Amino acid sequence: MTGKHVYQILLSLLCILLAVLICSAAVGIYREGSRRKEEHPLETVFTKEAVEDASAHIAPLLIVTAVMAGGGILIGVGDERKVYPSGMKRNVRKDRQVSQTIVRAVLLTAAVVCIIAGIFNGGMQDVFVKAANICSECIGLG
Amino acid sequence: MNDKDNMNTSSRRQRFRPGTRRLIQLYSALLYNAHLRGFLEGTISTSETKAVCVPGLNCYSCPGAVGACPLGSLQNAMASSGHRAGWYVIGILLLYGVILGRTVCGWLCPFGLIQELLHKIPVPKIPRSRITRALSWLKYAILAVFVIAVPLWYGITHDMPLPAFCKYICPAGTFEGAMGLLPANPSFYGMLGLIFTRKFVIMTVIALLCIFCYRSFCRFLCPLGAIYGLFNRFNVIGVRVDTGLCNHCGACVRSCEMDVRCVGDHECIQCGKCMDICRQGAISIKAGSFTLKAPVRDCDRNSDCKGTGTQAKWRKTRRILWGIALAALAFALVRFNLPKQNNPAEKTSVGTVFIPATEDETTENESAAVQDNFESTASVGNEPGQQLPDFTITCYDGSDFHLADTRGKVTFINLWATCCAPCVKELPYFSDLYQKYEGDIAVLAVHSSLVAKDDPEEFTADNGYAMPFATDTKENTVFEAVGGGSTLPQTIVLNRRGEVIYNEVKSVTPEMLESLYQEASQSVTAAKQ
Repeated sequence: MTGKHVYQILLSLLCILLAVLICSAAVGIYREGSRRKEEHPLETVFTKEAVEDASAHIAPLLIVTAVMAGGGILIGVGDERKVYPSGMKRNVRKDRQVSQTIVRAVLLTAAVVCIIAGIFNGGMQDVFVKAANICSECIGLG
Repeated sequence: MNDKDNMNTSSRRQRFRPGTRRLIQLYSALLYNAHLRGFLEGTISTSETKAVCVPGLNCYSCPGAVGACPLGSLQNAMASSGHRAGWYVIGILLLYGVILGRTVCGWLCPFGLIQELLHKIPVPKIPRSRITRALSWLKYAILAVFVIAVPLWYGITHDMPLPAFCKYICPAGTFEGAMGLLPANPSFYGMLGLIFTRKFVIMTVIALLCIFCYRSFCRFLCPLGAIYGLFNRFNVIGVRVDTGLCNHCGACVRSCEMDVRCVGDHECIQCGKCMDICRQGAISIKAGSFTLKAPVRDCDRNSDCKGTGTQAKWRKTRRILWGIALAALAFALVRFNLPKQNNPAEKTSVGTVFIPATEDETTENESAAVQDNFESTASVGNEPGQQLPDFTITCYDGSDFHLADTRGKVTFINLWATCCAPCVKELPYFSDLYQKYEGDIAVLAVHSSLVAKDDPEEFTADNGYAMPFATDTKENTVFEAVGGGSTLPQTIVLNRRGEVIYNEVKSVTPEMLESLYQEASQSVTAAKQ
């Protein structure tokens, strides 16, 4: 086992540990907050203070991992290129040029027709309305 | 410095020099997210450009986003299929699919870029195998269930938008939307709960997977990649193999980190890395019959042959194209980041908002209760402890809702939109509360002024809610009065004096509404005693 391998294994352990800590911190805040909320419905589950407190505990490990990852990239620890067994029957797709052109033309025409139909039936406005409002649930805010 | 040192320095430089693909990935990520001031202000862009979907996976709730996410738009289109067919989104996906196919994944997807950067972290990597190949079919199941079936089912049967992929899986939404908005909006912490915890854990796990396994999300989970993969046989721009030159050595497939069986199949993201491997120079990137990136032949590798006339011409054209692209980016950055011009005259001319509503402006319209018992001396504003500026808005039933007339009652104002699932979910709670305390409570549900064709009035009529509904004016009369923005749902509770006791962007539960009612009810009683 070379020094590069040791470095890689150490870094991978750090990454896993970091992910576990981050996840458990989030779950911990949630559980504690839920308990509070059960007692007082107007309480919030996550508080800025709780998040900042958890972040402060995780930050040193995050910095160490980031420094090690950056250092590893700079000194080229992970530069080996993998070559896989082929396991293939053919590596070239045989396309029939004529049929491909026809399919493209049909699909492009269909796309343009659909877009025009969508503009007239209000679909474009729907997209705009959805994109211009933040739906808190969609982005995971709750 | 000797020759060896020179060579080391130059090879290191070569290693860190971004290639054309990386530059295009960075370019598109910046172009999709040109509304940079959104990150500082904690707001999202409401520019008209958001009516157009960008090709890659880029959350439209990201503070920087200037276009719509095709996947979010598709789910929304599925959810509103009961009212109208989603031709527009289908057309856009068809268009991107036929022109680019999975070239989008390899070249134009910001989330693909993030995954590739994470994979640069030097740890032992999980190699491509039969297991990863089998897992690569998972994204088609996710497409069928989370993007099509669930939104369609909820849209038709419950008349409720449920973008299941966004809500339960999408790490791009958590990373770009939630994490992008939280730092500048500390009040959003109040919204976080189970959904956030679940999605945050999913995002962390996916990020960890991407470090160990090349483009894990893209390969196993991304429904957008699954859609574009269907077009990989017909895409106009993509990787092509010259069958005349290919000797079927298989080096291209063996070196590929995606789960491809042959170059250009549905798993191929058309990144063109195999072009460097092919000794035959059989692989190129083409737009139709026009070569965008020529194959690397042995003579190019040895650098002992000059480019042909056509290559030199293409190089010149490429420079011009880069110039145009950079000019477009500069224009977008300036356009989306110029500070908004606030014209105070416009605000005061807003039809029904009377700001400020000072004590001197007590009018004949105010009820006796206002003058006798529920006079407030609080300053005008929308923060807790302040009194809201007065406004009048016409409801769907034709009546006018005049805020000053609600003095003496506990008032609930709910900001919502038909396209917002949690908003729709909590409307019955407000309706029940309104019926329970009828006579002692005023409730108004105000739909955002951004309305999809013929939407909210029809929706509320179909569902038969008890409380009055209105759509905000084009000038955002109510939203401005209560400090509403583009994040929904928002609930504002006023005590009997019209003072704000609660104003938060957050989903509510019946228990919360009950507590808020009791709190608002008692606050004035307590003060009077």
